Amino acid sequence: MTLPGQRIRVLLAKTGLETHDIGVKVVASALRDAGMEVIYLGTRQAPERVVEAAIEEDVDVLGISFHSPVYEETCSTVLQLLKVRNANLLFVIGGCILVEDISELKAMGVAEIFPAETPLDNIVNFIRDNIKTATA
Amino acid sequence: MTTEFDKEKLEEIERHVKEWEENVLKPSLQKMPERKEEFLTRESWLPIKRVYTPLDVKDIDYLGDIGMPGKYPFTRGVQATMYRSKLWTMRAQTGFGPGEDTNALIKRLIKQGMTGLSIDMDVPTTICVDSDDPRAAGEVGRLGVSIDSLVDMEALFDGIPLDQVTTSLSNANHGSSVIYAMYLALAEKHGIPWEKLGGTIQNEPLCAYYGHRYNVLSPRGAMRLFTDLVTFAAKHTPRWNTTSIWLEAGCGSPVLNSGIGLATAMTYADALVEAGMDVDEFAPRFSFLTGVRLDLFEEVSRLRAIRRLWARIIKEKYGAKRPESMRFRFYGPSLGIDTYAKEPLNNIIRGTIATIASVLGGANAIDLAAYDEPFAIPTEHSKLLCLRTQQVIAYESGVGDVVDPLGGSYYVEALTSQIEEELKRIIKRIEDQGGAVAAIEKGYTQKLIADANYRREKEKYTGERPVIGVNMFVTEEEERPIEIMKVDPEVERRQIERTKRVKAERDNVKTQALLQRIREAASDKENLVPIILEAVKAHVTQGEIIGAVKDVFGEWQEVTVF
Repeated sequence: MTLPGQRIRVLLAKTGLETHDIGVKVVASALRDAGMEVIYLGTRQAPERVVEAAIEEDVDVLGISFHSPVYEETCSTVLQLLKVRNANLLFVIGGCILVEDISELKAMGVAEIFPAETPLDNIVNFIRDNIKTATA
Repeated sequence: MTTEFDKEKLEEIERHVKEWEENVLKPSLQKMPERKEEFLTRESWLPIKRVYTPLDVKDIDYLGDIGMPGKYPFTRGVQATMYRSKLWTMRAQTGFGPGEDTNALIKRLIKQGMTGLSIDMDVPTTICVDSDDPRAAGEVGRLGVSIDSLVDMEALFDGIPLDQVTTSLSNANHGSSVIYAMYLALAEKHGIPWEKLGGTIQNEPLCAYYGHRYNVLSPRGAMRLFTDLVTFAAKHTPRWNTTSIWLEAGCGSPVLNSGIGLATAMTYADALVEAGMDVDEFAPRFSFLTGVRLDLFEEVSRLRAIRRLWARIIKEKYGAKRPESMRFRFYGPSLGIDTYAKEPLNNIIRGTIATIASVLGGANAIDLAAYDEPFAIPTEHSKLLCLRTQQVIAYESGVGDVVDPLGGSYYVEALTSQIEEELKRIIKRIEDQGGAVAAIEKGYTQKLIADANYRREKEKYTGERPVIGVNMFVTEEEERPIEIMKVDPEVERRQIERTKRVKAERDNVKTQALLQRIREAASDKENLVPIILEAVKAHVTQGEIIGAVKDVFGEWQEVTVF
């Protein structure tokens, strides 16, 4: 949990077997340049491993990037794991996500969806405005 | 030096240019300032001038640096007549579901004029995970065709005369030797001699660490499989391209990644020389793959520069004697990175420009990223448009009627030389890291590419790099929806069932014995291809075979730099 004035901590990863990682690395660089502390786990991470790492690293934000249409299953697994672990963090996703699926993903509990071509500033600003800062 | 201009003439031109700068340019700039302070090429950020003259090409030696097409240093093309004799191979890369679904699609595209088969494999296949492996769930047959065993290969090529087509088995990478062995086994079943098989296998293990990351094995294991395939193929499949070196793997910038790709190609050449092959045995079957981007003049110059530099490297550094060894033959498709979800029909225009650049750059085979690529794999209709774009350019525009039509342009010749120098600098940087493998292990290559990707994407978000409909002339109007390819989840079930059945019905005692033999051969020096061939014929799957190789050589641990 980040206290006011502390650097926002973000963990990014790609799950599944698919490995298009240009986008997630660009986002990682942009968040780093915006002053956040970014941990990039890499590609082909299991959802269990991602959630475990997010909790271990005590991050404020967990982001997963997708390039193939398996995001619904993965998000549901991740949200379930976060709930079981009682993790209080912002879970966002990005990449090749169809517009028609966005409302359903939000209803599931994904905090925000950043489809391809989302301006980097929008991602930075969303995180700044929405992280669950500890009340001092 | 055989320059085209004599000294006096050049001095006269120089005086003329100075006078023009003073009396024409200066007042013009005062009245109409230029749009930007500094102009760079769009894709690789190379500084360019406002106008080029004979002064910019005065040090270029026509005979030594440019020459005639089909002759060293091949700057103008790898064949004497290029498209006047044979148009480029028109591909329409496709694949989804089990083999029979893709088979039907391929047959329809052949009827529409597709001249080369190009098979896209699904993600599990590309990283050697069988469809019935739980890790593959959700990905089977989704982004390409699924190939686990020879049975899948048979379904994929059913009724296709393997001696009359050329086939690109793209994106099989660390599993290349298995897919290649399956193709050979299939030819045998069809009664076609291996010598008649023409095609390309990716077999480019190193790009899998910095490109799309379709890596499975440690670099040592991957290089062993690479060498075994090339040495085997040189003896048994003389028409087969044994590697397709990927010059834009991971995107980055075209010039940066071409330099990295050429350094990688040299690492392969070194490995083959070390394995006892002569350069003239392997180099003629080296082929290349490079995405072609939208800065037309930069791309044409880059492709010409690579052709010249590769010829020089193979001749001067490796001592090749046969002209066939020095030919940079390449497949030049447009890329998904140049397609956007906003106003997707604009992607057709982008693909057209890239395709013209690819033709003017002398590509041997071409394809386009379909306009719907930002959403999903292409529909049959969007893929057909990729073929139609090539056909209109080939038959209606006349761009292929003269060989290297941009050769001799002051700009293109100057930029070709400028890019050749830049490529040499990048190759040197990789060599200074200890070569392509060491540079990957240190994360050096990945960092170079990640930085270039970040620079490009940032420019899109700031608007510095215009993308029409995305960051420039953006409309608020709601867009007309386009058809998007949805792969029926049923295909996954069918594929998993088939692979399970194949595994249940084969002789599993034999399977275990074959896998053990693969482990033993991998620990020793025996060429793995003949044993892999025997295994695929016994319906051992790709996942199992590469799994056995992995037991010996271990896995790659990703270096996560950004």
